Amino acid sequence: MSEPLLETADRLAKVLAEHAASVDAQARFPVEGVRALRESGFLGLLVPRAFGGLEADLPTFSAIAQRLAGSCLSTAMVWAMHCQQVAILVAHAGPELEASLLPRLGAGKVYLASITTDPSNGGDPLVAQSPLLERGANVAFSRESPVVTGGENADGYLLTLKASEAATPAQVVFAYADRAQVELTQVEPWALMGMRGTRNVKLTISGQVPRTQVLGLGGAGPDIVADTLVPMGHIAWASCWLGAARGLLVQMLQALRADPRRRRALASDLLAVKMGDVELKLDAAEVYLRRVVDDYQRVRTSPQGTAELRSYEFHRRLNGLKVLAASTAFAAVDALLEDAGFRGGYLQSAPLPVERVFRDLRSASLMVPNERLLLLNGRTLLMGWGAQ
Amino acid sequence: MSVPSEEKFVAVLRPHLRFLAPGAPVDWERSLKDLGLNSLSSVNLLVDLEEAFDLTFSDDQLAPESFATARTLWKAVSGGAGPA
Repeated sequence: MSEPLLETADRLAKVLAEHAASVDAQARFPVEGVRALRESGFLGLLVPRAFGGLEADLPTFSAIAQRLAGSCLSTAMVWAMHCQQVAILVAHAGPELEASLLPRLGAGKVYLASITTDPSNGGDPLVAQSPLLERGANVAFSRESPVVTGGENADGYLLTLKASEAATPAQVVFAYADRAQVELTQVEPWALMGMRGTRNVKLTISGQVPRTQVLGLGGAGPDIVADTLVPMGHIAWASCWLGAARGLLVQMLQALRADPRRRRALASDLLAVKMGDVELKLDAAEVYLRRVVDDYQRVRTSPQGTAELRSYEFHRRLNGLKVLAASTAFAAVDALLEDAGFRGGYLQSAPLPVERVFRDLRSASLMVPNERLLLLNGRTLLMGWGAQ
Repeated sequence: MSVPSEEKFVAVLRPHLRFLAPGAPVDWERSLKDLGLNSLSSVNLLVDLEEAFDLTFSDDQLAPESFATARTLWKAVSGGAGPA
């Protein structure tokens, strides 16, 4: 893990914290936070040094996401999902795209948005209804997406499409497009309960790009999903959620100790038991997260790792990470709100952002629903797929 | 167990292939994943096949590889290789 990068993350976390309330209140894209992340080189965190990036390892990425999320979960999520897209491009872009795009990613010039939902795929990245259309050396596309995080603010887009008009929706490929290569229409912002700074929008994206900007041709698209999109997505989300809950716990403990009027509370058995319980559960989920991060780092960098990376066991653990982090982080903030009470937690004007983090983390179980992932895990377990 | 017929096998299989166009022939070599079968839906196909042919898949036959193509699945159902 890189200590200098973690120190930078702590400095950036302060910038994010300054703007977290206004980003939430106005449901606007976190421009100040993303600018600070861009200027610090963090948009290129996962880009190899050879392309000008910081080449951080995954444990560092996960730790940074946790620290940033402790200040503003929306900004951390915008950044972590950008990093997920970067990881896909680093691992799977062909030589031409690598040469043209990775130096720009390394320099922090491109904030990436991901477009994997379509009106009928239920958010499943393994299904895309809109086709890639041949236009000589170029390909064209036009697709609706019901939800794109930071969709209006992105400098580039990575979107899923079906491989051709004749392909089935399961034959997925990815296309990268610069902002200047696409037209966005029918852009409508979502009105959300929480995660309001992610500035989710519904949109239709149309464009034309050179064929060299397509990833996953020849049937390799689903492997991109299994090898990078899903693992990076679950690690990014879990890191952010657990970091947000941990950040709030730390702030509450500091506030309790700093307030001389609440000295009696420090001696409360009930409070001590509750805080001990919240920390234990967050610890347990963080240990699970670290284990998945370490396993993923090992299998994706080992030539023998591909079989394990694509195994049912590994994907059950990834799905399990998402479910565990979502439920643990929300249960933690729910317990903290209960303890903070009406004035200290439920009020929007309370000194700590308990209600904001509560609203934000309420989304966690709904983003790729926990039930769907448990169903998937249970189905493959019952079929005996992947040894136990 | 009833004697499996290819025709009946295809009739049981078809509704589970959500991306197979209505009336399109089932390609015996094509990936069933491409045709819309996934980890969630495979168990429903398994149950339908076992009921239709009055058989029980062994642990070996249950392996994900059995569900790769119509041909591999037919082999698990019938023990035969299927049409040329």
